[in-house]
Amino acid sequence: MDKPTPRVNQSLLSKYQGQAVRLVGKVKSVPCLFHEAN
Amino acid sequence: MVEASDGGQVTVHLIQDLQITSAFVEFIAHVNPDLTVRELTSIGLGDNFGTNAPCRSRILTALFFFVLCRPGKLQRARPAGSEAARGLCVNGGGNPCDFDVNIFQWNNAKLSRFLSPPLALAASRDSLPAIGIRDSLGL
Repeated sequence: MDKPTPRVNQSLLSKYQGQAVRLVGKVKSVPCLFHEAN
Repeated sequence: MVEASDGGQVTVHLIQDLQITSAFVEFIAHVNPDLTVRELTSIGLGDNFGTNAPCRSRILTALFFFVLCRPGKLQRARPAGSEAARGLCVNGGGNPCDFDVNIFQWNNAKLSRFLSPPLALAASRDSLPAIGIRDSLGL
């Protein structure tokens, strides 16, 4: 069986650089994909 | 930008084809060297993830009876927050100036210690709708 994906928070991210992780969080902001036409 | 479970903010580079449709999300993502993450996929967890509505309802019911049984022990302060109950602070020391504690910051052990005497009193009074309280508290 594959190794499970570690579930992390912000402070644990540094231990898993370059790896796939699971991160649960509350969305605070989403970048706007649409720009107002001139 | 996502707020993780420890309160830290994490920048997530989203896949353009995927949309974020709920307030709470689980990302499966790759961690970049700058500690941002690149989304591989994501799962929406809804808009109320982590909030325990029945528990909150029980606390509010208990608070209501605390006010009935021990008037003067609760005082209204700090009306911040979207819920009316957030403005209710508890006078824990018998002296109104000792300390005020937002009840939602209390853990269950502290809550149960605090709520036992008035609930016992409520249960002993025939005039109070103790059945409703017992039901709401699961007693």
